[in-house]
Amino acid sequence: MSLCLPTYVVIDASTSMKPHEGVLNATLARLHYNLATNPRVSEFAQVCVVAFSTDVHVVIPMSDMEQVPAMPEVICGGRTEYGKTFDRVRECIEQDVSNLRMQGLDVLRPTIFFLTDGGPTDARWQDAFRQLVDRDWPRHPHVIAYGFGGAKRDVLEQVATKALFIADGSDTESALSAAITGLLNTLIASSKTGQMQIATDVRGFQYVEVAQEYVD
Amino acid sequence: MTEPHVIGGADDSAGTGPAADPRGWVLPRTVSVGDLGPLAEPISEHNGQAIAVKPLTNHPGWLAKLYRPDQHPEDAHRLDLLISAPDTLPEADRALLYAGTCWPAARIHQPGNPAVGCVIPMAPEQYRSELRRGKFSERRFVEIDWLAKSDESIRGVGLPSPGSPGRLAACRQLTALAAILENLGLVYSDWSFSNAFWSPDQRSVYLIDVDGCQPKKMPDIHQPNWADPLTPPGTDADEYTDRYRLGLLVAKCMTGRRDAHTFHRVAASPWQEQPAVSEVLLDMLLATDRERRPSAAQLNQALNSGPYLRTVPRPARTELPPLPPQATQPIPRPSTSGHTPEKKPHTPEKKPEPSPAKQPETDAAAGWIVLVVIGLILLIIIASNH
Repeated sequence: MSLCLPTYVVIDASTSMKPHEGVLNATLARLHYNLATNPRVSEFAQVCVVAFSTDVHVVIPMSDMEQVPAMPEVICGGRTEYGKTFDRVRECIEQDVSNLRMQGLDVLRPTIFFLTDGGPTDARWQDAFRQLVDRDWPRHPHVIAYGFGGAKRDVLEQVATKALFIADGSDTESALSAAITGLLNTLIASSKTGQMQIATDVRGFQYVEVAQEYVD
Repeated sequence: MTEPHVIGGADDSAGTGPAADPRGWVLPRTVSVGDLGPLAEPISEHNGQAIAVKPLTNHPGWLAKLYRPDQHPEDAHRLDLLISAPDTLPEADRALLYAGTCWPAARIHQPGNPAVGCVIPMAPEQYRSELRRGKFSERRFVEIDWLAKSDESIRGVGLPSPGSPGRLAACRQLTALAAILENLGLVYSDWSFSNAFWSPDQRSVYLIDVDGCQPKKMPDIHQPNWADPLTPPGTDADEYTDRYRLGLLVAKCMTGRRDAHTFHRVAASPWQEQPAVSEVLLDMLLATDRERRPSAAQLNQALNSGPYLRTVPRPARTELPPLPPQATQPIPRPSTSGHTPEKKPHTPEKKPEPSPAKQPETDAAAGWIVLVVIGLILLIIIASNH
């Protein structure tokens, strides 16, 4: 059976990202191109793209990106609702893992790449997050977080379960592009070995080791 | 193919009047780092056993592949054997090996380290193509990975679709190269999607990382989805491991499939002009006795429309792997223009959401079962009252 890493690219599309909407969409399109033209990576890392703000939208449901004709555009605006996002991703994981298994794939622990330029605007996001990464839930994912712009380090330190990247002051657009490159490099490296290999050298970001990694 | 030329003790030819390298390498087969002249910026870093691969500024078309410093001291001897091995081959095989692989031309040494690395030729330009998708395009080496996709997928990135003739031609060359390695007594171990380039235009393949070949056996290089079920983890890879992986690669490239469907497509034997291919591949992939897997030369002969010639009885085979149930996946469409910028944050097109599986048949069947059970109970009650 083939190995598969369910991958969730969860992107902040709130009002603060509005000035960078063009770069965000260009960066997502580049991510799509790079995955769609690397068959063994897109086969290994099936990807779901989620954009969140006041509401949560599944931009691309779990797919082999080679099968996706093009990346839809994301329009930014609204609040930064973490809680709804974590709830929605949990629902997606529950469904996607079942579907991937139905396809005869050996499914690895899902991984969320969480990209944000701001702190949560909802007060009770921690409850949703705890449910998402609850180790009693067999499908609990790894979370790799990239924070830039106005992202709150102390918040992201709570969110990241596997690795945390904090922008070292570079502008949002450069950081966004570098974060997606880091994400892509992680997927490429992981596809070679069949296990999570995090690309820790991400330009413009400080890599912060996560002290308490969740046990698989 | 020719008689086996197991290498070992063939190092006499290294540095003592070898035939001139037809690829144009002009320096000796053993060179110091200083002999090479300036090295350009690396084209690859920290990939496998290499810390860097750097073009030689004074020798266009040649690369210095520099190994990690923890290489085994005996590696120098192994490299010398590899470099001189083509000398033992007939002209046609040598030409094929040099044209279809980045066979090392020289060992690089420095004081205190006899195997700093090796000199290899750069892959020919014909193995680069423009890969297009959406508004992006990039010229790069096309890995054989692509040949294990459908013609439709290959067209989808702007490459010419190979069709059956293109797949056959590439696999013939791949197996011819594998047969030469096998005849030389070399184990490659690294057969996979990432270690060969494919030229859709020339219908040819180019094997890379061959400087890692070792005589008879070598540590098994693990790659997900390429594990030989009969080579236990932790044991060395040998010629029989290579036969399994080669068979898997050829099966995927010939069928354009890369999952359990590959095996079933092979079993359906769709190649009427090459009637032995199906049986040879199935024996390579499913033999219960790994030492009775057919050789690369046997597969090559079958791909060239020859018979399945063998000197030992056919191996018993395991069952074909089960096919996964037919799964459908919603495919998102690209966005269209015309969104109003005042719109609240959203994605321009509603994506199809995974819907829970319907179970009307199950429900209906359950209803009938309940009715039948009730009927039986009534019959028993009526019968017991008479």
